[in-house]
Amino acid sequence: MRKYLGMVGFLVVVAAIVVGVAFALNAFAFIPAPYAPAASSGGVTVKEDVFPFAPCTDPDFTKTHPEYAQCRPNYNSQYVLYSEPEIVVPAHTKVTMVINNYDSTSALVNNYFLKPQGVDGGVINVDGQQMDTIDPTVVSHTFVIHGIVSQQQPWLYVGVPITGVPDSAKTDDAGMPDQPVVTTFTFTTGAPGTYAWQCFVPCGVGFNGFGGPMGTDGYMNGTFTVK
Amino acid sequence: MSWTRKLVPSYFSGAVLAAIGFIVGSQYVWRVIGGVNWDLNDPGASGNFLEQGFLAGFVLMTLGWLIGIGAFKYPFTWMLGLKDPDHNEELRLAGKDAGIIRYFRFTTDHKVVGIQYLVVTMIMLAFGGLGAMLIRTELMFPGAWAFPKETYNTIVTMHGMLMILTIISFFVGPFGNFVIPIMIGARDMAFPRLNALSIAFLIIAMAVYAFIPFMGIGDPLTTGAGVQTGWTVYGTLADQTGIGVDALALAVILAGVSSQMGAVNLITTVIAMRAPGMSYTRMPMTVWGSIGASILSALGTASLTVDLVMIVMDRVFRTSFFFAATAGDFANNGYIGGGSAWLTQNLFWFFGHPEVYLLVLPAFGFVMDVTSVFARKPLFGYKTAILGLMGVVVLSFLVWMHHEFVSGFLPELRGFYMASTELISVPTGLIFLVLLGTMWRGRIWMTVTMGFVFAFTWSFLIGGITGIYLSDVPADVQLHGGMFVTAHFHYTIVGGALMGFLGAVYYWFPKMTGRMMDEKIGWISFWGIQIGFNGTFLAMFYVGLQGMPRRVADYSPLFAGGNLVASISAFVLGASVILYFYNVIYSWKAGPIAEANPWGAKTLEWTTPTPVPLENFGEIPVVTSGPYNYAEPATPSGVPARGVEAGPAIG
Amino acid sequence: MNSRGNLRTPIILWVVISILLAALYYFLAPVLAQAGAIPPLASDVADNAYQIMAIFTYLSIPVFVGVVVFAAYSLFTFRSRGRPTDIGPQIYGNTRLLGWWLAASFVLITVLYVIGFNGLAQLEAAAPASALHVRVTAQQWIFNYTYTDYNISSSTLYLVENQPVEFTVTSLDVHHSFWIPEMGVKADAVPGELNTFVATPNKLGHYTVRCMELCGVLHSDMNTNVVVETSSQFGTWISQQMSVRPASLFAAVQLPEAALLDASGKRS
Repeated sequence: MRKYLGMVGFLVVVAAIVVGVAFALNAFAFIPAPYAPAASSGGVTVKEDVFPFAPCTDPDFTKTHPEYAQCRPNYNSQYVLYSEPEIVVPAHTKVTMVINNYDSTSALVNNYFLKPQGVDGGVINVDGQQMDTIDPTVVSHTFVIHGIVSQQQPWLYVGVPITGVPDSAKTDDAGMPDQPVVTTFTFTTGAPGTYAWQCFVPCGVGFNGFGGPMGTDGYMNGTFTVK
Repeated sequence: MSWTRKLVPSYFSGAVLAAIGFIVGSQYVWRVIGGVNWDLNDPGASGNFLEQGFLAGFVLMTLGWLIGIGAFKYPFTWMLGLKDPDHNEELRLAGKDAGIIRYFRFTTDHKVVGIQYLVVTMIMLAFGGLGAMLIRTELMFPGAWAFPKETYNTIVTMHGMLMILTIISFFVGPFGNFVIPIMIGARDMAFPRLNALSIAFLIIAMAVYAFIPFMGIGDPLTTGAGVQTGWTVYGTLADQTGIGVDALALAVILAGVSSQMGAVNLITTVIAMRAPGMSYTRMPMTVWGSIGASILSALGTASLTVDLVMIVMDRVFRTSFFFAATAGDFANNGYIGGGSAWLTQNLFWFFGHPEVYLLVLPAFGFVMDVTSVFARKPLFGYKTAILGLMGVVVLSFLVWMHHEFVSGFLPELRGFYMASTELISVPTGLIFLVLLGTMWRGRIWMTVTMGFVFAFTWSFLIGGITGIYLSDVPADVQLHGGMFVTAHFHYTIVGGALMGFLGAVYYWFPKMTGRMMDEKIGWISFWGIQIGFNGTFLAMFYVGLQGMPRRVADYSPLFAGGNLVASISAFVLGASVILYFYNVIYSWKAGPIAEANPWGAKTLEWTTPTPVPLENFGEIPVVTSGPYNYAEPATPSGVPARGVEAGPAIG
Repeated sequence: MNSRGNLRTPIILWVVISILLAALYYFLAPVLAQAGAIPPLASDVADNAYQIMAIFTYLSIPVFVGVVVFAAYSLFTFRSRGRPTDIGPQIYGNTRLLGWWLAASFVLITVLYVIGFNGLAQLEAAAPASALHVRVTAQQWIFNYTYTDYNISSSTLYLVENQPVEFTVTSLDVHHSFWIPEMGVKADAVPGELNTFVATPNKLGHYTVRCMELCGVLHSDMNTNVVVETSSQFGTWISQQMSVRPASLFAAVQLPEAALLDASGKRS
């Protein structure tokens, strides 16, 4: 009898260890919360900020932008990042994306991404100017929604190059530019589905720049869910 | 004996010196050479020497460990021309009268090394199984719901590599060391100190391996935590992934050295130290299986070592072994190009394929041996079995490019490799002929071990047949890289090697520990394992056919049903293996005391008393018949004889 | 207890169960295929691959059933209750059986090889002159498609029904693998090398491309859309693309061999 009790006890202890490790891995990972902006009559507006490093480490910046004063838990403050990696928008809605980029310029590996794709009119608005292609010397990041997980959802591809802050711009003490470069574009979502979005500029580390922040969930890539 | 004499040298002093070595090595590189400041908020903080520091730390850690356990003592006394150890010294090194502390020391007695291997490999198996449970948790539902994708990739890599390292050692380590010398009538292995060194290398390899998940967290300039490449560690992705890959490389190189040491030791022992009358054709089949595995380990491991060293050199010294592109593409990082990405695939799989046969060959030998014992019949075709085993050994070096059918490398050779891979099913089939023929018309005693033999037959059959699908190039084009492949190799490795291992633990437990394992818990764990294992991997074949890729944290809802079934079955499998471990632990402490030959086998290890005396035999036996001669009458002591003239055992 | 068993029973069981299983497979396979057990097939290569797999299944059924029947028969017929009190017949082998077994094994693998060789020859057939040429460029974590005949790049793969396609696959960074499950097209994307695959789609529809080689964090999301359409629809799309294409776009997709080959076409 004792050996069966011991058997059950042993099983329970080991199962607790496995569950504990799973919880710890989950708890220590940086898992950003979903960002679902409210829809209005004209559609939904998604605001994204792109930073060269975590804004919560820059006291000058957080004075003017208090929403970034709190550092996120389990967060690598040196990685370049998008502020909202997990985006949720409603289906069959016009989406307006406003991307404020505080990061400097960097070269693309594949210049295919210089031309906006999948956006209304084939144009994006960069600091007030309508552009249908971006010069390779001013690109900084890209915002590309791609990837279909299953045939049961429609194909959604939106590829937009994000222009960077020129080297001559004024920055504060920590290196964060005073003024971002604003890129705006619109597109319409279809039926519900889950997609990935990512940057295609090698703005990370490693032999080809796709490691580090580029190779970790939640900084330069994320999910785009159409509900 | 005073505590200092007991604990110095021992694994404890080794651990202390290892820790000191790591600190000295890493701190020297980071602080003195690299001048690293650890302020993460300082944009100038340099991780420039992070990898080098870890590598230096690991090397000094290994050196510290080896010095601390006393491995260098006798080589140095020999080199300095001091007095050689006398017989009493050697007996002390073999752990005579040392009590339990000899299991925590550099001990040369092959039986002690065997038990050390058993415990270490079972702990490794437990951690590998933990990885498997985490993988199936993530895959239970679509979406990367449990862990982020890079964490999942690291778990997949660590599970795969750890299981491979475990399975390389878990048969020839415990049983090759404990049982085989006695089985061939020797007093010890040919190189007892090398034997103790091989388990020491495995332990320090695991200590290095344990660093992997913690390396690269939080450092701004590293490429992320862990290792995201999968166990195949292809050079291109490995050059980009987290610094954990350096720990992986070093751990695998150390474990490979351990495996090669054991291989050389085993082969020499079998060639040089067989008892008089023990010709090659009178050795039990377990010995032949382990010899086959040792040949593969000795010859193939170097290729993997070279691949891993090249990866570390690409990362640390900016060589371009695996980059074909010229500097213009990655100018920031100064790579000169001129290498080849196919090189990593070839180097890896030239080792990788003999490697997987290395995993199952000892199990092949064992199940044939044990079928004979539990059917009370000689092996149906001893020479056939040798032909099968050695055929696999030779052919396994000629098939590796079947892992590269779709890689675009030398496509004109695909026909040859298709032929050689299909050919390797012929010697494997011979093993099945021997097994079936031995069972036929025997007196089958259904012990738990025999249950595992039937499980092996079922599982390896399915694994082998699905391997034939993969050997066909047009079919492989469709199936490569998907879950069908994963299910195939789990059926062969888990269904082959693990079933053999679990059967072997149950079989030799009475000889190694003096107690019998509990039969009821044994059968409960056996059936749980069969149900869990088949449920998991049959479902995995299904999702593989549906089109699910390997190593994905997220998948289409199409595959959700199959994955849910697989995950639930995997939890059943995990729980059942845990039950088996519990059986081992419980029976070791409180199992029924075993007699000297509980199974009535005829191989030499069962003629010794339990516990086996330090020098195994009073007098080396003279062998006069094969290992399956059940027709011979028993000796007066009731133990079935084997034509052995044994002397009295020493205490 | 221990009967002496006979050869007739397992052999009859073997034959009967094999026939039953083969019949089960014959009737079940199309049903399962419809239900999604395999992707819907849409090219000559895929048809070929699954035909071969079906033949392999028919050939493996007797092998599988044979081993299982004989092992199970032994287990049930020759089992002793507890520790055996006597020993089995001391048979050391049967050379004739070994001979037949080896002969049967060699015949079987020869058959498998011939089937595979035929399939391989089909795979290795060169692309006909009318083929569409698509350069597939894989990078972390997307596939781009360049129609070298028209100098157009796209992120969706458009193909024409019944027109052969020659895919030339390469990668810009690490190992990837380009796979269209419904079309049975798979070619590893190896950086610095070109990997070619020829296929002909034979069904209209929407399909998926999946990446089949672990390439980093977004490996599971490296999926793109494939559209097999009629020739006229394709023509419309091409003219649309050419009208909006800025002159610099074709040169923008980096073709690695330009870096590797010098002026005379030799690898540098």
